[in-house]
Amino acid sequence: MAEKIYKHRHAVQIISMLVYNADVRNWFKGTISRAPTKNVCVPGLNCYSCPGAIASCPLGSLQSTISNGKFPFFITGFLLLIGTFLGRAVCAFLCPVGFVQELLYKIPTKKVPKTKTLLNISRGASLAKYVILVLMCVVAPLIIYFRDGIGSPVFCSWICPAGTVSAGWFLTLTNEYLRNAIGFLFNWKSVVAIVLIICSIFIFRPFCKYICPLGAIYSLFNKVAIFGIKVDETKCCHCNACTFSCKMNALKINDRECIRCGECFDKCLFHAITR
Amino acid sequence: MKSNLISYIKNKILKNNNSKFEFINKKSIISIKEFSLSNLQMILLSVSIILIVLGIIFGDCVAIFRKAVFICMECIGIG
Repeated sequence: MAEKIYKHRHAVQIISMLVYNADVRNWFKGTISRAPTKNVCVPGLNCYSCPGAIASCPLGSLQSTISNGKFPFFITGFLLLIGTFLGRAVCAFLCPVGFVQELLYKIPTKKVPKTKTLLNISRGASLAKYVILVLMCVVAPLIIYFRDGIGSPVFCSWICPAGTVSAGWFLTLTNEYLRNAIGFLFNWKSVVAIVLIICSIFIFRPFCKYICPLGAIYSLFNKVAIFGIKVDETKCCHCNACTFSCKMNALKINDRECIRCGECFDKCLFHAITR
Repeated sequence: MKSNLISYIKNKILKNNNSKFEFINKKSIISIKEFSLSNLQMILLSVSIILIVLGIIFGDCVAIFRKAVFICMECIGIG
């Protein structure tokens, strides 16, 4: 069963993207879904303002709850539950943003090579997502809440490309009222999204590697997650063929950058990596 | 270049490895790790369920629903 899931990873990604955005009618009306299931979250990054979204975005919900000056019990519990079960496997299987980036990376062009220096830089830069998580998703909304009495989802406002592409661009195309309200912030977010789209053609999942706060949260559970990849120490000869081929620049199976995509299974000549 | 990179990754991993328990038998380390891991998983799952229930009691889901059914101006880059 697990083998089949890994084999058909892209199919799982497509299905999850379609399920997250199942309310298709709204795509053409310039409105968003009001499905009753929106009181719960999906595990991946999928903006709740996407026209077809039938559930909430965990990151948006986290920030909106903090913005109201409350401790996010439900979201914390939800992220803890999903993290304990899956860890960063969510990034590989259940995140539409990750799937789109993978599709862009399939465009046949020269890719950024994996060299010693670039690996070092990439590993260092990947720590930025933890800083973004703490500063933009927790501290900044709290500071704004204490200053103004109501906070603001800072990460959603200034960076999140999921909100810009699938919600912002679609809604402004179909909704004249929203189109007239476009200003500096929309243009800034569009530039960020376009830069990320271009980078995704040359770098494997740049948003997931360096920016995504949701990936940062799930990465904390990578070592303790129930479902994931295991290394049979009796078979492993530490040749590092798995990490050498890793596009996420993981230095070890199940380290903070490992998204359990399963690409390393076939690279191991000793079949030491098990599902 | 390929072999250089492999040895570089190897060194990095060796550096990161914790050498505190070198004197203990490898098998016993694995069993201690497995035992504490399953315990940790149970604790995390229990805490997550408690937090979810608390969230439902305190009305987090209603607040999330209220936010999610209206267009989020911040998310789309307008407000």
